Amino acid sequence: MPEELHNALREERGRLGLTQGELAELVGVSRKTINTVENNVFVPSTILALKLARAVDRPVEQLFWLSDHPT
Amino acid sequence: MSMSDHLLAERLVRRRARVATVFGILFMATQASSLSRPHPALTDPGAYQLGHIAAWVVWAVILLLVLVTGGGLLRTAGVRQMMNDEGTRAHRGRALCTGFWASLAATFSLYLLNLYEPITTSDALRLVVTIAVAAALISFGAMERKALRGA
Repeated sequence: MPEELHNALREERGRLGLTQGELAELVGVSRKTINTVENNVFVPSTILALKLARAVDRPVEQLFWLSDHPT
Repeated sequence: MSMSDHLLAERLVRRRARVATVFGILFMATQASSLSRPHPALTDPGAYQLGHIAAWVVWAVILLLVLVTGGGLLRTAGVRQMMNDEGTRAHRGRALCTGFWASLAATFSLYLLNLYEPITTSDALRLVVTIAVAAALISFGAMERKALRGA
């Protein structure tokens, strides 16, 4: 069974009171890319995952996890 | 990157998604209508035919350039970078893959069709290129519009 990548980006963004557009600007991508990551449509590269983790001030493994390894 | 650049890139991304879909459909529709005309070899291949073929080549090249570069060539590097972020590049890669499979399907179909209804090489090539470019554009536009939904 293929593993799925899950994330807590929407929750962490909400915690910081950021809009998708503001987070997108912080990490240098478009708002639609943030939207697709939050909806588990797009699996981000390691670079973007690290940038997102840094932007929301969380370790990357708390922001992203595989379906068989819930945090 | 300034907020105005970010907003400009967002606006251009939305416009590109709409334009890709519409132009992909228009490109295919106009070629389909031109194929229903008598072949130039059967009529007088005058300036009209040459102009039509030249217009098709120019249009195909422009659409391919928009697809491959992402457009926004006259914008700043920051705006272009935002318009071609990794989400867009992933969509482009999948769209080009769709175009490749569409061209293969068109080639096989034309080969079979040719067994029953002879088709000229130029018509066959034009059809394959048209279907490949249109399929890639429509696919790219659809993925971009879906990604923009709710964003």
